[in-house]
Amino acid sequence: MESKLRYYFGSMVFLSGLILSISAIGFAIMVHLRRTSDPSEIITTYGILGVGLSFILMGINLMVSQRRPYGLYSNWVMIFGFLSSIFGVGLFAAFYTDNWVYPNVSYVSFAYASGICLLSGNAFGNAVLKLIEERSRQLVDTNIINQYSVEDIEKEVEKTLNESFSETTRFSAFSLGIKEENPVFIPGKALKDSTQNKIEVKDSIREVECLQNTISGKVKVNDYGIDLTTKMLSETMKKHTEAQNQSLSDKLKIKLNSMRR
Amino acid sequence: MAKGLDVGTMNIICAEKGKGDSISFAQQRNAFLEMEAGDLAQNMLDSAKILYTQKGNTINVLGEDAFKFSNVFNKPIRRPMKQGIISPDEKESIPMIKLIIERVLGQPEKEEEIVYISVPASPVDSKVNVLYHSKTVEALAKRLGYRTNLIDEGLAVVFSELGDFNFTGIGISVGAGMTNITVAYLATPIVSFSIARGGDWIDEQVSSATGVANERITAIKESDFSFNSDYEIGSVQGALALYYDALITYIIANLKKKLSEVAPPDAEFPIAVAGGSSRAKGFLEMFEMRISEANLPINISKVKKNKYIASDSKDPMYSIARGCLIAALTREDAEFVEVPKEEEEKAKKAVTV
Ligand SMILES: Nc1ncnc2c1ncn2[C@@H]1O[C@H](COP(=O)(O)OP(=O)(O)OP(=O)(O)O)[C@@H](O)[C@H]1O
Ligand SMILES: [Mg+2]
Repeated sequence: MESKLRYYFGSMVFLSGLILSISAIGFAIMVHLRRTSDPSEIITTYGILGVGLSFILMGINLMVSQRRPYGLYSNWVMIFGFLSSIFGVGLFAAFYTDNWVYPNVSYVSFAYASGICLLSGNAFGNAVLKLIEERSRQLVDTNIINQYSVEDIEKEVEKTLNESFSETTRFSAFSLGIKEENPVFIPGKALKDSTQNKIEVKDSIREVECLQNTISGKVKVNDYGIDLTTKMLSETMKKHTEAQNQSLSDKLKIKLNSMRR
Repeated sequence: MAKGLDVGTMNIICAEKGKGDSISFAQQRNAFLEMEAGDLAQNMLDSAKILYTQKGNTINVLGEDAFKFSNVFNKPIRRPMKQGIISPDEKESIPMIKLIIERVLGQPEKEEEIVYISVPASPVDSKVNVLYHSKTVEALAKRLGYRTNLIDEGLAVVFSELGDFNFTGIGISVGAGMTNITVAYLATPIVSFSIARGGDWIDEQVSSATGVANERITAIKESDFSFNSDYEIGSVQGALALYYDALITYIIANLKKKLSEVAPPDAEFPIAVAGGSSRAKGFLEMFEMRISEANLPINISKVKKNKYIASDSKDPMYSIARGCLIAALTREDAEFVEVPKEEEEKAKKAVTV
């Protein structure tokens, strides 16, 4: 919920920044802004434009921001960047015309530029992080099943099978006179005595011989050497892609873990 | 003798060599019905040769009879498998599936008898764990004393249906819980995957669209439906045609996507479709039409059409068990004659040198 609110707030900030910038440009066009214009017009235009740009970047930051663990730093970077750019605009408004000379100009531009850089850098970083996390989450999700090894599954199957037929009671070696808790499935008469119905159909199963020939490579129509190469090639290809997938997901997992820490 | 076993969501079918030139199929529904012992006189069940088990006060009726009883007593049937696999959450029904498998597979005639069991490939559209299912089924057959091997359901279709094409082509099994697809080149699978939709999906969708009960839809679909007829909009058959078409389109779209990820060899790939859901009249024609529209990145020479007559080994529903049997017999023969293997080794060396 909190992140949704933040997202909503961020988009509002973004929108107001956009409106500010557009109105600044509109204002500039209205008053035919040029170098020799009235200083108050120049201050208004560049002031609103500067603040608008900071708002836009701030809004983007709020929208793409991360929660833990990098959220803390990124929040500070965001706030600092925002304040610094607003400060830059304020300085500009204060210094323009009267004190618009060497050291002051560089203070203003430094404050504003560093603020904008921080904001945009932070937004970019967060967006990239978000992308990586999304990807790796997909990978991890699909790999949940593969976390179990074949042996794990075999053991689990064995356990389940043993438990589901309570014939194998642990007390069977020496009966302690304990009555068994879950009674065994007692098969009905037909299950023991009657034989299963079978349908018999004419079929010479020629395929057996053909399959034998195909597998052993004795197929007449095809070039034997080529076929065998193809077979081996497809095997290798399969193994290769499997290995590749494995190493890729491993790498991502390691990366993710180290990031979390 | 070797055997082939098809463990499906709806049917468990075993194929073995019969007398002379024949195959003998044993089939049971993969379902059971839970009832109170008081509802039924047990000696009645016994004399009617109903398959059941008793545990305390509950009676479980198994297999085909469960379906009949569910209609009579109007009780929902329970199915140990869903979407092609035994789910780890359905552990209580494992004893039932065990009994049905034992029933269909029977005892091995000799030690270390080979059985090939069909299992689904990993689904592209669901996160279910196929391995758990495969290991469970394998363990059940092992406990009976068989030597087990697993085979993809799609590859079993290739083995059964595409012998005339050197086992090159696309085998598709449209079952109840799943659709399994394998693209094979000279009996070697290139791509194998499954889709967690099949006949059950059609039934569910049609049932929720029309408000008719699921079991009723299944019955209509199996006995009173064909693609070629014109049905009224809003009728059950009309909805069936619609969702069948959606299923076919979905299957082909996934096949296309998968094929674009590999580079299949430049050969002709005929398609063979099997599984109970492909029994519907006009299914293959419909499938062929959609395939030709799809423009697959592979050379499809044709869609193989079998004339299916009930209780024939060309019944597409038996095709998977038959494919498993072919794999098992081939393996048995290969172990009998060790010569071809050596030859292959030699050839391999020749290629690598
Ligand atoms: N004549 C028919 N027309 C249409 N559908 C049919 C017909 N006969 C059976 N079916 C459907 O075929 C499906 C069962 O097919 P099949 O036995 O091949 O599936 P399965 O192997 O048990 O399931 P899966 O392979 O998905 O685990 C059911 O959905 C059933 O309703
Ligand atoms: Mg099946």
